[in-house]
Amino acid sequence: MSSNKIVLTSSDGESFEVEEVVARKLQIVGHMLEDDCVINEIPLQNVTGDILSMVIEYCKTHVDEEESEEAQTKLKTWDEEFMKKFDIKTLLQIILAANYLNVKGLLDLVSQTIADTIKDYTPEQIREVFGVENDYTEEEEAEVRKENAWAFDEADTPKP
Amino acid sequence: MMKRGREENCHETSPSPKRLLHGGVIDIPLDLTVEILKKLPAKSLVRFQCVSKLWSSIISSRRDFIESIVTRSLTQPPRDAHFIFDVAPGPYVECFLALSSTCPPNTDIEAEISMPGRLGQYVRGLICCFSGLKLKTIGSRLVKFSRWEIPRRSSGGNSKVLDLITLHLKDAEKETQGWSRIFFYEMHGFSNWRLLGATRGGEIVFGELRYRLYNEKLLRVLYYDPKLNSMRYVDLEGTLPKDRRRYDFTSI
Repeated sequence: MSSNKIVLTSSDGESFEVEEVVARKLQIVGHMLEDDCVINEIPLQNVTGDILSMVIEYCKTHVDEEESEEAQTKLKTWDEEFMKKFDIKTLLQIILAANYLNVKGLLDLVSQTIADTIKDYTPEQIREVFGVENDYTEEEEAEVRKENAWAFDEADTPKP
Repeated sequence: MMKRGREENCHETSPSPKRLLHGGVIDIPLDLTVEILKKLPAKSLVRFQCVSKLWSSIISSRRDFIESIVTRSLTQPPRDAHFIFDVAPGPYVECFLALSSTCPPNTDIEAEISMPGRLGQYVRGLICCFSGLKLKTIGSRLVKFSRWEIPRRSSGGNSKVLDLITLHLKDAEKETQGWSRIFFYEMHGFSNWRLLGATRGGEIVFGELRYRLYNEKLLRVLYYDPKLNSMRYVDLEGTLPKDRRRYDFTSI
C-alpha cells in the first residue's frame, strides 16, 4: 500500500494531510491523480475546512472496505453513529461537499439520512430548510392540500 | 432604463457550500434534491407536493423520479392485502386493510405503503383505517392510498364495492407488484365490536360495544391475527366508570 501523503486544502485555507488511499476516496482527487502526475497539495475550492474534516473522517473509516459480514455490520453501525452528530443544516452542507468531491458512499449515506430526518416535516418546514419559494397561490395550495389531506394526518392533526 | 451588472449572472459549474450559504439557507441544487426525494416514503412525497410547484412536478411527473420509486417498490417483497368489512351501522362501511408481509420484522413497510384514513393507524404489515381507502396512482404508476368512504352496500350485496376495490388492487399489483394475494373479510356477527386499531405484532384489535352501553366492569378486547387466522381475547379491568365512558375514548 502506498504511504504517499497528500495535502488537501479547503476553501478557507485549512490543510489536511492524508494518505493517498484516503484521498483517492474523493473521486475528484482520484481523477487528478490518474495522470500519474506527482501532486502533493490539492486545493478544494468549494468546501470549507469543518465540512472537509467530516468527509475525510468518513473516508478514513471506509478506506479498506472488507467484504465480511462482520466488517460490514461494524461499518454500518459506525455510519449511523457518525450521522447522528449532525443537524439538518450540516447534513445539507455535507451532501453538497460529497457531491462536489464525488464520494459515492457518503452521498448515499447522507441523502438517506436527510430523507429520514425530513420525512415527517411539514411543507412549511421543508420550504424553510431548503429555501424553497412557495409559488402556489393560496387557493392552489388549499386545493393541493385538500387532495392529499390524508398525508397530513400526523404532521398537522393533534393526536386524539 | 435599469442596468444590471452582468457579473451577477455568472454561474459556477459546481455547487459550492460556501457560495450557496445566504441568510442561513443552504441552496441545494435540483439533482441533489431529487436524490433526497427518491429516498422518502410515499406518504412524505404526497405531502411534499404542497411545498412548491417545482417539487410537485418532480414528484408527480419527472420521469426518472417516478421510475426510481417504481423500481424501489419492485424490490420490496410481495405482500398480502387483507380487507375486513365492518357491518356496523352508519353511513359508511368501515374497512380494514391488513398487509401480511413477508418482510423481516424490522422492515419499514411504511416506506412503501402509507396510512389511509384520518383515524387510522399503521404498524408493520398492517394498516387500519376507519373511513375506507382508495388506491390511485400518482403520475402513471406510483400507488398511493387516500381516504375513501365506501358506500354502504345495498341489500343486494356488496359485490360492486368489492369489484371496485379488487380492480384498483389489480391495477396496483400489475404496476408495482405490491401485493401477492388479496383477502376480503366481512365482519358478520361482529356488530357489537368496533375496530380499535392494530398491535405492533400485527394483530387487529376489536373492542366490545356492550362495554359502553351497559355497565360492564370488564372491557373485552379481541385480537385477530390475519396471518394465523386466529383470534384471542383479553378482559381488561380498571376502566373508566360508566358516566365517563365515551365511544371515542375506547382506545388502547
